[in-house]
Amino acid sequence: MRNTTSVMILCVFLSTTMGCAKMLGLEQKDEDHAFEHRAHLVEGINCLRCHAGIPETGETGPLHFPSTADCVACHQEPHDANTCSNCHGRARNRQAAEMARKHLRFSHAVHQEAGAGDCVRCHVNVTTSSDYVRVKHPTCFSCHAHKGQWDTRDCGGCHVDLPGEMTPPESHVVHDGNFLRDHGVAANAQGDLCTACHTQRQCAACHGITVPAIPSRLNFDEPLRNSMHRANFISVHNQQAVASPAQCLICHSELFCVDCHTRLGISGENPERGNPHPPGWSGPPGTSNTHGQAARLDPLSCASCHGGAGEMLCVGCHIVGGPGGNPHPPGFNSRLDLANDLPCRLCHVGGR
Amino acid sequence: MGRWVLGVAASIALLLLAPLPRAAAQPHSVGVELWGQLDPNVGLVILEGSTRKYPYIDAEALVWAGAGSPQFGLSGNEATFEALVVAIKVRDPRGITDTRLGRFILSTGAVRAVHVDGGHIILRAPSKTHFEAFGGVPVDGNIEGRKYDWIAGGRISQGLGKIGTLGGSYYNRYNAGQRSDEEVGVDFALRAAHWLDMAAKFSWEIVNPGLAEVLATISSQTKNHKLRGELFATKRNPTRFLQQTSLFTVLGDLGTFKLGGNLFWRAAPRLDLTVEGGALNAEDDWGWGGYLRGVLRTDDEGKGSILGELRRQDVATAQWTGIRLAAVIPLYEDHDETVGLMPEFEIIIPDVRTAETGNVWPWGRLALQWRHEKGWALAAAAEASSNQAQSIDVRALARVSYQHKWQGKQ
Repeated sequence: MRNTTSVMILCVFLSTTMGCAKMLGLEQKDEDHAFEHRAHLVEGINCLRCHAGIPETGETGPLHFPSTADCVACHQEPHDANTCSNCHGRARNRQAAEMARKHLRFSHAVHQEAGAGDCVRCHVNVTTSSDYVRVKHPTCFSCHAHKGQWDTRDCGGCHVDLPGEMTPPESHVVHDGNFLRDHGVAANAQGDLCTACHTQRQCAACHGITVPAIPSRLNFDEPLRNSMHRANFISVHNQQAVASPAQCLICHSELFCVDCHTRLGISGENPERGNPHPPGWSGPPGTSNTHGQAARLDPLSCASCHGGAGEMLCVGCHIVGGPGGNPHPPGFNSRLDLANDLPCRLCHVGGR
Repeated sequence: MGRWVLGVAASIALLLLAPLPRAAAQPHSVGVELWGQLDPNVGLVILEGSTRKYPYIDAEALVWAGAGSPQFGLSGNEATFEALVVAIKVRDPRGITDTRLGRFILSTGAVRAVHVDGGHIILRAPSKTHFEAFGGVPVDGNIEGRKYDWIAGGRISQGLGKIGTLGGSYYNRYNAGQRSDEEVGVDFALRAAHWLDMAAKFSWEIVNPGLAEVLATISSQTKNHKLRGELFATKRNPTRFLQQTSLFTVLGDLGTFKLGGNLFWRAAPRLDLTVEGGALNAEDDWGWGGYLRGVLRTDDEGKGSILGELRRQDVATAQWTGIRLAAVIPLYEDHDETVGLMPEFEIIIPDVRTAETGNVWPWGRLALQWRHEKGWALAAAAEASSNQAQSIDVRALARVSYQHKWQGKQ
């Protein structure tokens, strides 16, 4: 009985482990494997024997993958009757080559002439039986002309439609980590590099003043897309503004809050919703006065309603000799003209 | 300004029609999207298109019209028409100059993103020195720009071999005829080694002297991309982000500061884990914020995924904990079309709970999507939430879109 229980527990454990391994992708699939390029190379077989026709290929045309007939020309006794490429060579590598043919402005004929038949000079990975035989950027850039194209952001010289490729480059521009937060600092230093792939519509979708709706609303069927205003953001937007008010100002003007709140009727101008400020918000010196701390935590919210003509409400108290006193912190200085420029002239009448 | 925008659009059309020698084939695209929401009711029509004649011209536009809830930047039930992007980029065939004209997002060096009607030119010297100049009228909606409001500036940058760029920038902005912003900035991006990236930018406000913004990040990753760590620091000063004509700039230096790091780990071929945490300072009040996120792909191609996230914010009066679950579930797939289900759920638990605000703020959405290989897509969703403002809010969303892309003549 004890042995039966142990066996059952072991079976459950093993099946659970196998299930988890499969779910996490740890289980190795062996339906196909990388093509044995190295073995053919070591035997001294010329690339063109299998990839005949490549030297004459221009920017379009066939890919010249070897067929089963090409294989059995040498391997006269194949181990089964299936198509060789079903197992020998990964399907995804063939797909990558098809995508390269579609997206790259590349002529084997031109390169064949320059390389004098030396395929390995570019396809270096065939010497290691690697899974990846496509040519990487550093290999392309080892020729002088391409270095110049890289420096002048002339990606279109090789890539027909870089934005349409939808392939984030792993080798030279990293999009990992919290890219939503990082992208600004990286993009501003090399913005012309970013625009090789990214359109203005992508930038404006978030940073534009005239967006029809924020991306997380428009693309409601893409829940895994990184977004500044995800899911239930509306519930915490006021708290996020307190935590980092300047972050809001990167995209939203100071009038954004009051525009939205007024249109939705959630503002002090709506008699039904009443004063938006809590009790103890402002009062004479010595009483509860939470508005000062709130203004320092989130000046954007205050400026949204009390900007422009509304500023007179503030300067009524916050003036030297008034109950609010001098509003400037120690060490404050400004290059604005006291007599003529806003907001100085609100208090400094005549420049005093 | 409306005439100006129309002028740019007409120029685009003329340039695209002009026969250009040596222009290579590039894909052209047009798209249309109908988007609607029930309760509150909103209807949007979005038209977009782009075209390119390599290496001379890129042109793109996105315009939209709509009516309905003012929550969406619309003016109530009156029809609204807007242009988000109408831009043309002209390029010298040798890559010496890039010039962009029209309505676009201006963002370079330490200059923060501004939506402008204007121009931006880049001149590239062989020494890898780049000169940039820009100017325009900031966009304010309703086609028209802000009256007597303009921005102008420039940037000089120097390429550092193959590994990075160092730049200095300056801009000046006037609002209603009065100087409202003047900033200088320094920026750099450096890839010191294949495993080490760093970037930073600093901007200094001149009108009301002081630090406006500092962003710095340094990250490192393993060669197989399975592990990536990052340290970052951010300081932003809201009173220097406001236009300096605002009274609230007299409050002085109120900078918010964040210092933190994150770690990405591909724990298994289909499982990604990310953890981020940072200390925050808002008006001398220290707190912290961070999240733990896991994404499990349900197949090798990543067509289906499950996301789980735990988030916490605790600084000043911003104190809440959130849990989010989302998934993309492929239901059907053949050579031409796919059907998927996208459930998403989030619950926020505020630290300060009252009878008025409630104890938890749940939110959920269930979306169904159909896509056809020929460019058609159809999606519909139902959404429900409860928060401090509304005890129950139920909405329905739908979208129909079509994208057509075709190749130019060889």
